[in-house]
Amino acid sequence: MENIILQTKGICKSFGGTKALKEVDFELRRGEIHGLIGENGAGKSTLIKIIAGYYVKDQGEIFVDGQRRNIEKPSDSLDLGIRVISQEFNLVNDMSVAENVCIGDYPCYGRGRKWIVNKKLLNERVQALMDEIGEPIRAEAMIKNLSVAEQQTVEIAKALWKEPKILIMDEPTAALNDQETKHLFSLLFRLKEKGVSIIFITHRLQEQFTLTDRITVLRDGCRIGTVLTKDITADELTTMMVGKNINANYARTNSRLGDLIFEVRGLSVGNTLKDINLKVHKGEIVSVFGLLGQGQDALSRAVIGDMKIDEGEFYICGEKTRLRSPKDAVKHRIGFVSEDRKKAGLLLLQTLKRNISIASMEKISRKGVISSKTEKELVSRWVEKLRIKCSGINQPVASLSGGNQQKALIARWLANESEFIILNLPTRGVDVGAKYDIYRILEDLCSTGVGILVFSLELPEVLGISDRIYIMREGQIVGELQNDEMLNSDRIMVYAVGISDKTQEEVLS
Amino acid sequence: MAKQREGSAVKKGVALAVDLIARGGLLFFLILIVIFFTLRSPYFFGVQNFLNILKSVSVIGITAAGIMLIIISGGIDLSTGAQMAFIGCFIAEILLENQSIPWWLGMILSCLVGMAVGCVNGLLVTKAGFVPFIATLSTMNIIRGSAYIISNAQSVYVSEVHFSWMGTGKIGAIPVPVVLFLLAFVVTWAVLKFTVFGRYVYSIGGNPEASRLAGISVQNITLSLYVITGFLASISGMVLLGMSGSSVPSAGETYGTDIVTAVLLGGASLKGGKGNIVSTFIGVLTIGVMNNGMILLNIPQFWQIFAKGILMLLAVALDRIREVRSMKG
Repeated sequence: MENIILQTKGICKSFGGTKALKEVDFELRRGEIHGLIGENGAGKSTLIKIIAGYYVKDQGEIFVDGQRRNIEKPSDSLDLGIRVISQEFNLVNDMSVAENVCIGDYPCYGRGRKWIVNKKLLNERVQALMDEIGEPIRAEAMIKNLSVAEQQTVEIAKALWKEPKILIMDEPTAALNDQETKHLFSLLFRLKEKGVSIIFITHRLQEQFTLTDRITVLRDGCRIGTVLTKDITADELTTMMVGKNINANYARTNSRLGDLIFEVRGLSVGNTLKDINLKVHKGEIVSVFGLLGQGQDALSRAVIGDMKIDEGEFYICGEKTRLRSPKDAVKHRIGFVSEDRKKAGLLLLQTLKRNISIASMEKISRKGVISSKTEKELVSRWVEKLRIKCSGINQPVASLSGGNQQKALIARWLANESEFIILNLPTRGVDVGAKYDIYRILEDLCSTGVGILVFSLELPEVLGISDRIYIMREGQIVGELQNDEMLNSDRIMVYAVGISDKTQEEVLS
Repeated sequence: MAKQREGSAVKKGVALAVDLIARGGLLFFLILIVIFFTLRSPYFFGVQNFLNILKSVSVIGITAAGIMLIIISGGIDLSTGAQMAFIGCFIAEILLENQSIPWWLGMILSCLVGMAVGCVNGLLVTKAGFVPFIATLSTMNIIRGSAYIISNAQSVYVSEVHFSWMGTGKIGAIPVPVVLFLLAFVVTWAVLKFTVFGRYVYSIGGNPEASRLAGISVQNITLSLYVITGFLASISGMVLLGMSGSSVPSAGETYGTDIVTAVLLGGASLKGGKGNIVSTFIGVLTIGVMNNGMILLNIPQFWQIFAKGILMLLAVALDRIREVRSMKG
């Protein structure tokens, strides 16, 4: 087993009641590029974070170079020569490349004294590193003047400075264009030749095929398998990722479709959104599915008027409407439940009551004075209807569970009689029971004629609740599918992952 | 040995005091200093002196109502002390010089000027996107400078009866400044408790992003709070002018920070979203009692300034302690 540099055995990790990882075995060979792939929420990041010491595993063992190691904090992992490059960079914008690369480890004048940085030596050494990995970045350049791709290279150089044995890259290509991706790959190949072992996480199948030697697939916190890249096809890999028959019981029939309630035509925003067309009918649940970071957040903001758009028109109940601010959206009875409950949804310092009534002031006040009786009635009604578990409507919202907080946010829009509700990742961070409650609420709502648009990253959810599905990739809507018996996750993933047209045909045929 | 024990007893005492105050026991602290001053000065405890205290804090108290709103909404305004001095000079130099302007128009104009100044603060914060601290620190100096400029750095004796009445008059047995002070607090209390506006103030302080997405015009409300505070500062300015009987461009040098100290003592959080009127009232009274008691005890003025600094530190420390506690759950 000499050629195995990193191995995990039976790693388990739970958050609250949900098991994020179930007995995951994983091995990384010396000098290989190992792809880690899986749907959102499959457990990729959790596994990486355990290896990096950000999370502590509940069970299992980690071996580095054949020796059992305890990794309990990030510094443990660093000491073992493991470097993680996350999607977000940790660079100081107002410092030079060299200063960032050796941060905390500057060469200094004099012996033993760490007072005055020897800038010349610093720049020379970093320049030498850049030359060695064949990157044309100057050591003196300021970070803020570099492109995203160049900054990423600096991150890599920063990791290499400490001569790592294992380099882990978490979706490094998400922010890069094709050219930059190619460039990154050639750098990674060069590193591989130098003997660095690399774990590479990406959603993009194509990239897995060009770059990796082996691929490990995770699904629902389990390792589905590890395969040699050259022995597998895109089709097989997709099947491994999503599993078969997961949607057998879910397919919905729709008999209650009403008039058009919301329509977007030709919406474009810079490079993030390109010519989006989208329709939602009364009594319909429409999902927008896509892998992480395909422009869903931007779209969800644009449709509530929270983004300056370059082009595009909004129609509400067939009437052309301007949405220039969330206030406009609220006025037109559009509700929005954001992806980040705490940052952009809840008023955490306040009570459940005030959280629900905040968008309904017109209904519960006269001439700016709130009728506390009307408010109580309105809030109590929705708390009961949505079965929000609380000790009373004056309970601080911060002390409710995630699921009940989410219900409170939905109640906010029901209280003001919104006819069209947009939910971005509605079940993120809620436990399974509450998840089904939320699905049930959405079902109930659409049976009363409310139109619902759900942004989701989870295939079972999309297949489970929606009547129609739009698939987003790279800022565009690349597919629209009716959710009928014929639909399965494979067909959706084909659009979402964006394998070449030819493969796409093969998979579909 | 004895010294050590004494040290730990003091430590325990301080810890206990901090704990009590942090639990909203500012009232406890106030009672403590009231007892202290009562024991040390025969003149302290009595209706007349308490009215004196109320009267002397009413200048900062009136404006404190507005500052509390701003702090709840997540902002801050340091410029109000300078605004008061400026309004005094504006009245003395421009309105009273010009005999043709009747007193009531003068008062209205003063309020409008105060609101305009508040509006500038508000626009700097909302439209220009300055951090409130920086914006109002700058305008504080600009306004103070303007007060010196229009007055040629001279004090002017003001004897106009209506303006004097603002500072020295009485309604029944109650001094006018105290009436205005209480009025400002009662109105603010009602606004926070009963109105949509009050609800929005708490919301935008607690979570501006969520408030915006809930359809609240965060910018408009923020702007209006600075305008309201400008209005209140101009009232304070008139009261100050009436009390001192002359316009002084250097007046109220410490008022801006005194008010913030009072509001923070009262439990409002610099992070926004928290604060209530009763506690702020106690905060203002605490400042008043400290000032009054120290004067009665003939404590030299520079020691008074020193003590105020300590109080400010205490206020900010309390804010921090509360935050840490709330994070612990």
